[in-house]
Amino acid sequence: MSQRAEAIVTSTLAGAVIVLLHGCGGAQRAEAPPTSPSVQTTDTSPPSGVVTVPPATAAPPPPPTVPEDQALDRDRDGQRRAARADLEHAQQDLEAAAGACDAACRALASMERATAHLCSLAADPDDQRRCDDARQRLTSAQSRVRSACGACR
Amino acid sequence: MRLWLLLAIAIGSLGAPACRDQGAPAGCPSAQPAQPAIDEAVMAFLSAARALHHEADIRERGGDLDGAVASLRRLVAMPAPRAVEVQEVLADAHARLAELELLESDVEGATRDVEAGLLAVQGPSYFRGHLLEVEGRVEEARANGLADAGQREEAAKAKTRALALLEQAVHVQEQVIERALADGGEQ
Repeated sequence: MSQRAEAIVTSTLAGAVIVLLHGCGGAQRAEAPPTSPSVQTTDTSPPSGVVTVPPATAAPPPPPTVPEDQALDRDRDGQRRAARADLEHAQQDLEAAAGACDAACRALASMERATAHLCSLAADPDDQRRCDDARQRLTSAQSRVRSACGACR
Repeated sequence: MRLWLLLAIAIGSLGAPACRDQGAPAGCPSAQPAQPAIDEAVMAFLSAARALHHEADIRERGGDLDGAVASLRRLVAMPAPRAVEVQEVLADAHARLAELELLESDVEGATRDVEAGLLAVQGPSYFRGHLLEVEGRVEEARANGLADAGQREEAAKAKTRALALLEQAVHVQEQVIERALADGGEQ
């Protein structure tokens, strides 16, 4: 994979994965059973080694209202959708970057061949000036492609 | 090998966008009865072109340059649907034909193929730049032939043309690189 492609994907994927994980974790917490072992209060004879919470003396807090749950679900759905969109966008960027580097490398190879032939024909000072100009352009293009794509295959 | 890559990219670029639009179902290309017929014709052309390049590869590796030229002649003679990808494949086939003809010292044949290829592609593109590069090499070969024949004045003219064409090729490919890296391949 090219450096350019890696840079694009790394930044976008990192954000997307964090959001996805956060969203999944939140969903699991929301679906946890209401009477988990650590908060069990009805069983008065626990097996040895199990820590239980003493029976509460006050009335339990009221369960969350339905509109709040729905709002949370909507929020998580939105985050998941956004994360999925980020992933798809990253994939498209990756494909575009790989295509761009293929195109750039192909053009660079042609540029190298043309420069080599041009310079092999240079006999007088004017020809040599044209050769030097082509070499300068080639060096600049090589540097540009290398920094964006790494080495061409 | 690069020709295979170009054809694979061209074929892929035709199918991929439609797949993305439909949520990429399994077996996407065959699951699109509503696709315009032109795409099918283009795909068929690109597939045939790929097969003929493969045939030319085999013949060229075996030293049968005439056979390789014959394979590519079949390619450029095929009925060509109107599509940018098709024009690019034709331009590339003409460039390869010209290179093979240069190997056989057929400078006139190479000139005809380069000119035919340049008619297929307009504007700065890899294919145009490559054709200019090959045309420069054709003029270089012409200059060498004329110099060997003692026609110094004609040889000098051919050399001047070669230098100008190779310079143009450098400029076109430089633009191609700039554009490719500036817009991330959205060409």
